[in-house]
Amino acid sequence: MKADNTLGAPSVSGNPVPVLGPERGPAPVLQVRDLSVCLPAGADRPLAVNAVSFDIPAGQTLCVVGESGSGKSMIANAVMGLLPVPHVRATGGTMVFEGEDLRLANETRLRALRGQRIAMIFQEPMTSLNPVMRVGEQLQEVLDCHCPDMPGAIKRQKVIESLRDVGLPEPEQTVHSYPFRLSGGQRQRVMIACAMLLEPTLLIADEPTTALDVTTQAQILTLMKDLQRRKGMALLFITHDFGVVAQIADRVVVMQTGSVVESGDAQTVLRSPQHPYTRKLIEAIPQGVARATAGADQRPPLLEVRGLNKTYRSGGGWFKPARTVHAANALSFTLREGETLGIVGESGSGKSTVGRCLTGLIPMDSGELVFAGQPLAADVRHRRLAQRGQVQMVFQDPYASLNPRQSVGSAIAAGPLAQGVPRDEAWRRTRELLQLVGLKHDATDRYPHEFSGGQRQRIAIARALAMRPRLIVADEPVSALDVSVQAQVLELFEQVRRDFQLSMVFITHDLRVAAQMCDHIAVMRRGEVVEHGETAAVLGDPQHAYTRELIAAAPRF
Amino acid sequence: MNSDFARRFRRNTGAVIGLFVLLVVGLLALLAPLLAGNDPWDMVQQPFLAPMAEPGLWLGTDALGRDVAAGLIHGARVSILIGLVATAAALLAGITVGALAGYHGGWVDVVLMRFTELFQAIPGFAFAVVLVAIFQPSVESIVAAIALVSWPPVARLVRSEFMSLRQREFVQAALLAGQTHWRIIFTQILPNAVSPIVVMGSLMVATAILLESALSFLGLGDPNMMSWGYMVGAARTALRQAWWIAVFPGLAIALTVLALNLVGEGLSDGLNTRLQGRTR
Repeated sequence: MKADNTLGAPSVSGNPVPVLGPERGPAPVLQVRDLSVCLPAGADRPLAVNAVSFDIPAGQTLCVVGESGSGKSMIANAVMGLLPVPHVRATGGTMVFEGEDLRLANETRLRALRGQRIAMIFQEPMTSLNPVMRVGEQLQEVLDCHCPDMPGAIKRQKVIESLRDVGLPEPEQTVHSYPFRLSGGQRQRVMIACAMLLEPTLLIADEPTTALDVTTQAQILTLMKDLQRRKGMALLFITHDFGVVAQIADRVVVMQTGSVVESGDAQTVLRSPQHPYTRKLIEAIPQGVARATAGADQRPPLLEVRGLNKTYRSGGGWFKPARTVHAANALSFTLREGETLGIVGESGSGKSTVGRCLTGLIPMDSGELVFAGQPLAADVRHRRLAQRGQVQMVFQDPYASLNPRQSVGSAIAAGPLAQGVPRDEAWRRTRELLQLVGLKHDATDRYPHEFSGGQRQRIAIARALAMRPRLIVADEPVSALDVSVQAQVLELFEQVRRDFQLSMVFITHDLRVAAQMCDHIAVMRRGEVVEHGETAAVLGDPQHAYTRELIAAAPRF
Repeated sequence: MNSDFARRFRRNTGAVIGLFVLLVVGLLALLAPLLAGNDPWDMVQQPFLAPMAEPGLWLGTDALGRDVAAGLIHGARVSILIGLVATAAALLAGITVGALAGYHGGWVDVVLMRFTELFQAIPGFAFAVVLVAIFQPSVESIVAAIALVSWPPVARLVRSEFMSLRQREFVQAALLAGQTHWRIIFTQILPNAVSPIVVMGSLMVATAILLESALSFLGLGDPNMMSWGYMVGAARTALRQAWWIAVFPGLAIALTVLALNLVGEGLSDGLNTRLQGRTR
């Protein structure tokens, strides 16, 4: 959208606010029939989207739900004319927008429609805005190319009004800010203001809240719903999260590998899903039912953390003081053997830092770690070899946490070998573990790129288990995975925890996951633990206002 | 994996042509004594004989009556030898320094990088001229001089690659497993940094050949080896009477360097998995 703003679309002059056409009656704003989109040769399937049909009437929200690779974003890009032609293009069907088939429209016509009649919001608010341009200028650009005859004063007025519309505080000041001064949620609000500037009749939102915290997500969803009601536009909302669907959708289309498997009224689909795939997706959502805290407090403590501190300093020079962020502020807690502690909080709360301080990957500034009665050095490089193997970590991104140039078998065996385990024994253990995490034994000779995200996370778990650890720190281990895969990986975690008598520190932003996995929960905010207790107690009867806010914001249905 | 590489490499037509030229030059260098009828230093005919004027001397003779074609064929040996050996030496030094600096960071990085900057602060060619002049022109001193002026960019590249790869999660997992620093450097980080190093290496061979030619042109070549740069230098005085003496070795240098650059670009395409049209 930004690109075509700078190109200067043909003007629809003298008509700054498009008059709503007469077709905005009961007829749908967008009518898609048998839309097919092809993929380039050599892709995993010939069609990204296979004969998909749906209608969106004015004032209604249609959610397209599916897992990654289901082709849901392709639909949005096809409607916007943003497919990377000629390799990926719409090969069949019609997309009738206000009586006009978008598939037949040429680039000039599409450019006039985009921004003016159809607008789009993207997933990543961090990269959707130009970082070296003030917010006001970026918004005004839309008016500059679609309504060049509008006087400058009115344009500025409209920009400020649009920012006020999306609930940004002090819009007069915000127009002069650069995007980096704004938070993720604020940036997404600016993107929405940008999309709404010319009052489009159709708004397409491609996972607009996926990159945001739960509390911010809840606010943005409320805002979009509110704007939609006020302006009466049609909304095509693409998401993978059934919680979001429950909150915003009027109608739902469920997609699996390019085809629609189920569609209908949102309530009906969510309450009584007909297709087995939909049922599987809905069942896979963590229910957020707090598990019973196992085995009381008589077990010996495995890890004691006393006064853990970590402060990040950045910038600063001779004349200006450095910016400091307290990622962990005098944290103390005890983890007993076989217990799982959940650390929950939003991004920037310091929960990942705590995890890395425990493993020693980021040395803490001050504090004390006592592991099985022995002091544990702050820096992993200074820990004794035997101690190093006992604390292992499972990382968030299964794509980044495996070495692309190392075969899976040697990646898992490398750890035990470094600990001095004999070669045969290390490889025997590797094959056993791969079987345990549900992979075939021929996986040892294959490379990470041959595996899916869920399988890679299984490999990462096997790699951690190969060290025979007593404590595993899992940093958002399922947040990069699709919901059905997520359920399987969580099950695997539960199983190995039981079988190996592991203690775990489970870091997550998702309260439903935490409820399912953890015995105790610590809620973190700005480097401090605001609430800590048994899972059922924390979630059932939250004492701190922030915990209550988090629980209220979590999507549910 | 390998077939993907070959497919991406082949898609770059220039690179395939470059590879072909390099193969020809390589064959010339390997089979020089068989292909060249004459010794490059022997005076075989009268001086300034034009190309094709005499059977068997299809590129003519130079100011001393030596066979230009024989010189060209033997010159390929010197160019390839010096290009490869000097690059290998420079890569070895550059990778070692860059890997240590990038992996360890802190004061190790500061010391090694200031040391590198010491070399970068001196104009490369002038430095090479001085080194060769001091140590007497010979194959060894030329190789050493070229390697000494070309390793700093390698060190910088490897350092930056290591600095970013060191933060990757698979390296952190290896740290947690208690793997030694050497093991992490060799099995985790270096294999992932190979692509840019290979590309840079292929371009460095080209630069090394140019440097050697320039040194020989100035009369700082190995006096016992016929090289392209020496031939151009020797032809300089008779350029207007006998163009062929300078033009053929000059063309050989240009073609070889061009071919190396094309192959370097092809390698860069071939090793770039993202060109496949899918990330990850």
